[in-house]
Amino acid sequence: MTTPATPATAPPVPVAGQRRRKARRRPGLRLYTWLVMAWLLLPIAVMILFGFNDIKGKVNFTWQGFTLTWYEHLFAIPNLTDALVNSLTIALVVAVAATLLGTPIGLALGRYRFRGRGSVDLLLFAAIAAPEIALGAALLSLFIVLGVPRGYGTVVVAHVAFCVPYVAITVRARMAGYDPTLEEAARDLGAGPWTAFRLVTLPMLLPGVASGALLCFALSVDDYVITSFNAGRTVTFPLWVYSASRTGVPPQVNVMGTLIFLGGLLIAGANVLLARHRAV
Amino acid sequence: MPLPLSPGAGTPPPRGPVLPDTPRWRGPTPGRPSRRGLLRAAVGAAALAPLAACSVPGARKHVPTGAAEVAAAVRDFWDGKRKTGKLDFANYTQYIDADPADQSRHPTLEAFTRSTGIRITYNELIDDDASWFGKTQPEFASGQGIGYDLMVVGSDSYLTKYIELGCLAPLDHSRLPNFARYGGAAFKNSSFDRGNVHTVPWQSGMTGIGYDPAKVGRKITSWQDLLDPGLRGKVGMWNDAVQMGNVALLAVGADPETSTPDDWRRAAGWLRKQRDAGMVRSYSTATYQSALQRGDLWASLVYSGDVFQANQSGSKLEFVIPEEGGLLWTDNLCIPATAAHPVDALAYMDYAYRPEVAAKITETVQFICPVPAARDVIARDAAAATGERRAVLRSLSTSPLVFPSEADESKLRRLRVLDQAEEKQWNALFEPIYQA
Amino acid sequence: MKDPDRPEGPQGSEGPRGVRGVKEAKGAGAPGRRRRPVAALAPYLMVLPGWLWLAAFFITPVLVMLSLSLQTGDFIDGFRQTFHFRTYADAVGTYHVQLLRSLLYGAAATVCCLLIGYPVAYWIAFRAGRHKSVFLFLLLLPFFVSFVIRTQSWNVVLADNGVVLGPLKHLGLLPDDFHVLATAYAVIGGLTYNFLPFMVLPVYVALERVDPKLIEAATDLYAGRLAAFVRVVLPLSLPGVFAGVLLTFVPASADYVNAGILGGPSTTMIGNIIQTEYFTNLDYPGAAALSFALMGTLLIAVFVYARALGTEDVLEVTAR
Repeated sequence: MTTPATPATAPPVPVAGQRRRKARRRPGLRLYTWLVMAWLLLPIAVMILFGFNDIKGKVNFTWQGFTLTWYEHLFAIPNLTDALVNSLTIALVVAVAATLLGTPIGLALGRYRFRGRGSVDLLLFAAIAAPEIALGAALLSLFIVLGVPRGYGTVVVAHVAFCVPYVAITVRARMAGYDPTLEEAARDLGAGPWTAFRLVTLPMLLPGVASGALLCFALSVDDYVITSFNAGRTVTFPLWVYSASRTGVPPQVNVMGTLIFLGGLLIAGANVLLARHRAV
Repeated sequence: MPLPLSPGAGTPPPRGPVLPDTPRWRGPTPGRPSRRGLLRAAVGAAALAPLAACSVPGARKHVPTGAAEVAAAVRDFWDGKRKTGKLDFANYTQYIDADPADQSRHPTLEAFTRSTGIRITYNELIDDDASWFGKTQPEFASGQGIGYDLMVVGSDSYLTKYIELGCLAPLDHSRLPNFARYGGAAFKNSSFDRGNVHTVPWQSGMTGIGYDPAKVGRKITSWQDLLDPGLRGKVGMWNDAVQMGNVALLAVGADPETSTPDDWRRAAGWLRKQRDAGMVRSYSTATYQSALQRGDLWASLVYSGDVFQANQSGSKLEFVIPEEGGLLWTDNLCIPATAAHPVDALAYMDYAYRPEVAAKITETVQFICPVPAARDVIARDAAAATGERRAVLRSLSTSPLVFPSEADESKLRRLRVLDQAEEKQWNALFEPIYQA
Repeated sequence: MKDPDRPEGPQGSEGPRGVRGVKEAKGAGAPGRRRRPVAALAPYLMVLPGWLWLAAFFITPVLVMLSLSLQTGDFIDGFRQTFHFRTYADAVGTYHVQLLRSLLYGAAATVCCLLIGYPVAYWIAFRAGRHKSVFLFLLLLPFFVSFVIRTQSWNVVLADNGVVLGPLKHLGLLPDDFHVLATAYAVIGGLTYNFLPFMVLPVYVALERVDPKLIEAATDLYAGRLAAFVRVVLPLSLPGVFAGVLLTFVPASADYVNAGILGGPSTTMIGNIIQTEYFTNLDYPGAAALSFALMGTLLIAVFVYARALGTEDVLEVTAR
């Protein structure tokens, strides 16, 4: 079923070099890719730019001059600030909880073969593949039937539920490159199972765990659909922005969006560097 | 929205050789789960089924009627309740006076704290009645309270629901002397709360047509203008069955308050005609204000205060009460039955009816003020002010949109109060229009 | 390594096969856990906490929603379990237009994503050279900005007299009453925009795994560039396309934010209705029934799609 096709069909090496050089000359597709990238990034540019817009009223859609006033008065809207704080703290709690719950699943799936592995797999797949609105509506139904008032706590519960599978999968993907003989070797050299795990497996696993946690944080901060179903009176950043669109989104939203964007870039960059550093 | 940080993270891991006997990640193919896995899932589901089969209990409460019952309810509620020096107040957005220099400060609230020692936590969390009801109802049902002592509720079916569910405290009118003295007669004893047992008006407003004369190029005077082919694709309507239905009733010449299901059907027909003629660009309460200011809409259903506020940020819109009539609605202050600081809330309620306080609030929100005496206060403030501010205040004190003239008042109609069964019928008629 | 199936090099990123290979070899067919009962429990203990969470807050809610959809009553007087299956017929009967529209918009956005995204993935995989990771990073940048803000940005960019349409109208290239917002195009465009990376990434991953030597082999065997693409690259990328289509189609069909922010009078999607039924009309059974109808329809659509594409073939192709 799985024939090692690659070596059999590999052409002589020198030819490959020539072909590759030929294939490089393709300006059309390159231009096209850049255009698509520009399209993807346009709204981000708009967001950043309009955070510097010197508007008089509430409508922030035509350029009226440069100002830094919105950066100075970033926290001038108390409810918006509360919403941002809610979003960030929820994301933090969710990232920690989902990582604690999801990492062992990823580890178990990557390391062991056990009865029921398939159904765990299926469960993770279903939780990721189910449309968000179905997940949100189902949780809301549960809370309605149980008579649980929706709020901060239910948002955390909901976010953890949709984040756990992502952590599990990220960690498990990391486990794929893992060579179990290393741990076996450590055991052979007299290390206990825990020591072997701590000194061999864990360091290798950490970048995966870190990207899982980051992923959770980002998913949670950005979530609108599931949150809107289960937030009750609690307002998060995306919910506030959505409801502000009726009277006009204040420039502070653009500024906060910009700062979150930059923060995300920094952390992601650090994670990449860290992973590279460990890999060396 | 999932966020793949690395190609392998948000997406299922790529597939490779498949070992025949190992159930494994299949990417997004839900087919071929192992038979045993399915069986186990089924067993699990069966085990959990009893948990799922539980009902949602109802929460209807007896609503006091008649003077004696109401008096008894008032006594029951207020006996033993004391001032605590705290008050949590939930309001719609931008619906109270604000310091022009710092929008997050509210001078009348600060003055209230100074004079009574009651500290107020003020939050503008209510987007609309429907969502607020959906959010707070479970907290009411659980009996643990919603964390607020004072909230603003519109004069629509949600107010009726709050009352039927026993969510609102009966008001002790002996502690509301300013309301008795200064409250405008036109705003008391409304059909949605006879005798003001549970509510006092906060602000009133009108629903009419807002438009940009520069774009429309003529005066709009009638609801029928919203069928004018010249405005095709430029009209904004709402995804709000209550307002849409009542407006359409006016358009077909019916008085909403006394309308019958037959009138409703005619009104729905009018809205369908408007939609099928391609008049409407969008049905959205969420975007009409910004779209009108951007010029994406030329004419739209609006609340009277919207136009004032838009014009203050540089727009040149006009508001009109159509000749067939406009809608008068009232947003009301009420005290949740679960309030932790009801006495403080009641004190604030009465405070809001002082003419100088009502005037300050009106000067910012520019809706209809339920305290007629506030008009003189605003005129006095105008005389004391200078420059642009003076012109704004003067126009406010003389504006028929804030203190409606008798002629205007005669054109205003109130919303239909609907019971549960009527509401179902009403929604079935009007929702499909904007949920096409 | 005894296991001949074990791939080498980059393909090793696939799964834990190597691990199993070793365990199997050690236990000589019999699971090792029989010898070490404590160790045998380890995977279960590791899975348990997370599994319980998902059981409580994913499986149970779905079952409760099923139960709720079969209750009758009203909000004030409560709902009771009556197994009233008519609710489904009524809900779907009333809202079949919106349900079909959701599938249509989802499918349209998916096709757009595929047409726009495939060449991008192709270029990054084969031609970006050293800059591969730069492009992948650019592709992920939108995710650092809130999805709601990004969607709203289009309201600014595409306003009837905004930065794009304003000048075009001024030059007389477009009629004055031309608009993009509040149309089906705006909604589909918004969905395409929001879900494009979900198409590009899996396609890229599949293409990345295609050995360039295979293409060279094809051309050596006198296949033209087009033939090499159609007969070698395209089939090998199909699993990625399959994953991308599902990752785009399911969430796009169920989305309601784009329709809410960018839509017009007749672009209501089923998600908007479910939201209204839950929050405005408080018709919980109807709303739950619609949610199930949506999930069911999507499941059927996915199944039909998998069949039409011949999942087995796809798996075969991947396996090679």
